[in-house]
Amino acid sequence: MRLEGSIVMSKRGWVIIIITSLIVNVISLQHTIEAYYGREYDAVRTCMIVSMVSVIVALAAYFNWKKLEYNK
Amino acid sequence: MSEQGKKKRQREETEHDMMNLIENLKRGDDVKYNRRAFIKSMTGATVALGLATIPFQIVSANKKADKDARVKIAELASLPKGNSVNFSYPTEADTAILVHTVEGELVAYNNKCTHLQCPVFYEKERDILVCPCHRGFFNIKTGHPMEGPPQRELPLIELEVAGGVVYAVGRKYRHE
Repeated sequence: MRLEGSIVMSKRGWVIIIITSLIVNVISLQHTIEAYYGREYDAVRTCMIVSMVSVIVALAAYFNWKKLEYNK
Repeated sequence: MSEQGKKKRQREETEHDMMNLIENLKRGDDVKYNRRAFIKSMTGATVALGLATIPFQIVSANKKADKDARVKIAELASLPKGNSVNFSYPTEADTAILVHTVEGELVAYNNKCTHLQCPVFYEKERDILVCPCHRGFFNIKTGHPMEGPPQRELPLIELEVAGGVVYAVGRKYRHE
């Protein structure tokens, strides 16, 4: 990984980030549901924030991957 | 597509079965189910799962905290050891069970099973709370699930005994 204004990484790297985001979101959704039924509303908010950050990271990784994938 | 209509490279060069093993390949599937499609689907799933947490936050933001009212449940004298009585706390819709255990302890829980909301009953012989719908068992001392499908504990009703009368004074959803 090299920083020169934008992050340069291999396609595999971006795919790993997408997979990690997917795992984070699966776990986060499970915790959200558990917290909701346990009426732990602060935990619901925390899980939602984690999920939103994960979504943003996944989308950023996807667009970077797409740029590399179709730039041939 | 007829044999004539096929391009030259698609035509079978021989009638021998072992030479025509690519016949079962579907070009449509190759176009649809490939690495690119998989990564796109994975991104879509990530976004969908992330967005699925939003409704929980919206609903929970509108929920109000319980009002800790003091509600009379029963006279202690009318509840001998090994018996239970049903009541509602904090609202009429939240049914609960007060148990005077075999060991002499007073415990109370909301009696909707945390699996599928069936009513939970006290079983004196085993000193345990049982949900007969799917054979879920809860520890009488803690309200935590011991066996069967329930995964979460029953909400605990906090009790107070004054002048021989048992009162419900609060509720805890998550507890040890």
